[in-house]
Amino acid sequence: MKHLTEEQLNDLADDAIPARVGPEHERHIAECLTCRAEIARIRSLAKRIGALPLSIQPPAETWPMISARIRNSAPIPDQERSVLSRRPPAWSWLAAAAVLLVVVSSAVTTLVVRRPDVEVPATVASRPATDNDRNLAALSSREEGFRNTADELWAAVNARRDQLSPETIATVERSIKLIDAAILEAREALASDPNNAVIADMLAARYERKVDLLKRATELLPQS
Amino acid sequence: MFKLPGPASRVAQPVKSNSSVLSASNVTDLVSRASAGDNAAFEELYRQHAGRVYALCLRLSGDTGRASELTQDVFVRCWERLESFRGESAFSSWLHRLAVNVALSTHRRDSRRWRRVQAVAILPDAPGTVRSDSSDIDLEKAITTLPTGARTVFVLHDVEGYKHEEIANLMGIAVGTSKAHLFRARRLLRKSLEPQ
Amino acid sequence: MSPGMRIRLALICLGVFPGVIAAQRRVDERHPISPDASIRLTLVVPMATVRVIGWDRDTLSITGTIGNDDRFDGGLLASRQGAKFYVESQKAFKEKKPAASKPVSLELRVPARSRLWIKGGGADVDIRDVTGSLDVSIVGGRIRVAGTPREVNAEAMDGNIEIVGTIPWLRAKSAAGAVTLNGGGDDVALSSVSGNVVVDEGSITRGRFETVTGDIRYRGTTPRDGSLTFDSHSGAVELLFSPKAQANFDFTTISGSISNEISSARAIAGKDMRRRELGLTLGGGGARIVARTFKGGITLRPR
Ligand SMILES: [Zn+2]
Repeated sequence: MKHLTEEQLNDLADDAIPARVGPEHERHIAECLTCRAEIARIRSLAKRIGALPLSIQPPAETWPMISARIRNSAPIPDQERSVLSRRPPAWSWLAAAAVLLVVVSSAVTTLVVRRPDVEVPATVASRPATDNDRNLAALSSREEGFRNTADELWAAVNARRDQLSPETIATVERSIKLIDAAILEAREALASDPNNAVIADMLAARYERKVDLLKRATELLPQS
Repeated sequence: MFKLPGPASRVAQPVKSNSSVLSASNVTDLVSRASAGDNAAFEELYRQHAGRVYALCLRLSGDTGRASELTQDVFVRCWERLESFRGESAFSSWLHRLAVNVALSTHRRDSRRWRRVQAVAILPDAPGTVRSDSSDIDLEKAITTLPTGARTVFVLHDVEGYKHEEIANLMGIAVGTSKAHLFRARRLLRKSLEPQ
Repeated sequence: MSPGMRIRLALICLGVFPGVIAAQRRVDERHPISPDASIRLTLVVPMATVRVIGWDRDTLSITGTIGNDDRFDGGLLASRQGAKFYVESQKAFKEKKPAASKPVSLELRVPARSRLWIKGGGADVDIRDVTGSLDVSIVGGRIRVAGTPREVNAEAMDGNIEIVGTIPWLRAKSAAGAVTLNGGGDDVALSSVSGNVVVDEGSITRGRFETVTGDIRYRGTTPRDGSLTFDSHSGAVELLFSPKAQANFDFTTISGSISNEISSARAIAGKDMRRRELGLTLGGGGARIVARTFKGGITLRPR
């Protein structure tokens, strides 16, 4: 008789209730070395898997990034937190800029690397954060990170634009144009008044809107 | 945002941080302080649970950079939704469900976005990554090379202990598909691990 | 034999006029399902009209008409915890002639507590009486939600989003479409790029409203412990509150105007002259209401 199916072998190895194993299969296993060896192999893999740690220490920059994303410069009453935490004000992200810089660049790297059909070396060395990064240079680096992310996303949409309806592409392009105009205006205002936290915050908000819109556009691309 | 079924056999167990031994009341206290806006309490919750969340994200994404981003997303979302945690289940299982939710939804978006995700930057030698925690580097590496669907099902079923029905529900696939992914994953793993 | 063929033959046997069959085909399915099942509907069609009604039965029914060449797929998970359906018009997309395809029209009746997930290209999605969670994403058309779902996430590109009801957690965003809410919620974020964001008669505890060029209008209330943030680049922000409201208002604009028609307080230039600011307290203070624009006008007036 024939060997057991993969499903039957796995079910037996798992000690699951084998849905489709009848007496004739049991007789087969009793006689067939191949099937018994197969079950043993699945079990020994299972043993190895069972020994894997369920906990692995995340990289050190993970908490500072989270902290930067949830912290506000001023103590915020409980009821406002969940709204405001979605976007930390300008100065808290400036304070965290050193960390952000590293992570934004790695996010961009990820995007670059994941683009289909492009071969790119795997990692970019992360720059360690120092106190010196906490200045306006960090702001423009952060901005550059946003810009690169947006460019990458736009390139991904553009490369497959024929897979979206012309109306969708038109809407995305129109909206991007509006956001870009707003970014430009805020950027110019910030250049003449670099310490204006309100403008810096608005600029960040517009960039976030742009990245979000492009992300949604890439999600509309067909899957296959 | 769909609520997810919890892990079945290998139930979420909080990870002990070096400094403190956890008790239920400790966690409850931290959760209530954190949901009142206490950053320090939230950081302690992070210290206690980050390892488990990160391990899940790392194995699901197969990429350390991505795993760190996902872990951030999970905890930011956790912070935002802490008030909705009613204490009906253990905090660790609630967080674990949240993590699976975040990882899978992001993953769906990613796979929609990038036809073929190229596994890169797998398990670098940097301190604090897999190498220092996991003794079975070969297996970890082999997991990251699995095709996405097979890897997702494998991690949820064999590592995290979810049932096929739960996975099928989570991923929006049939139970039979979930099984097929799992068997394929096991077959591929054996192929890359067993001496030929 | 394809399902289409089978149905065609069946109908011909019944003596139905073949011309009708060539255009459209009926969908009529009914399944027992778990009361809090997750139900997914994916529409890869140029235009669809979808009506979803929550009902007090553990049954999912899906009825309507689809184009004869459209693929209709899906079914229930064995656990009855979920169902997914898929409608695809391959022809319309391949030939790039959306008009050639007949509009899809579906009505779903779902257990009220269902968790619903709908994704479509062009679609008019109308959901009512669902108390579970909704996640709806379309490109063009309209999303309309009426009722009290516990969670709503609605996204559109140039489609409009209209929500009527009180929803604890609500996220709605469009790029070129308008987003309107008539009702309220605990935690609400609405945004559009060029569309208007309008809260008409609402009471929101924590709210965030954002546009780039679209206008923002809020007419409603917020509890004393509430917090609302309005942010627009060049759109006008118009806030209508009762003069008896207990709130602190905090307005900032870089080059727009600020007008207050509710009290005598007037905006002043910021300390560096590069912005105008108005801080204002009504009724001894309470809710925190923040509005900022780059160049759009901010107006506070009595409702
Ligand atoms: Zn055999």
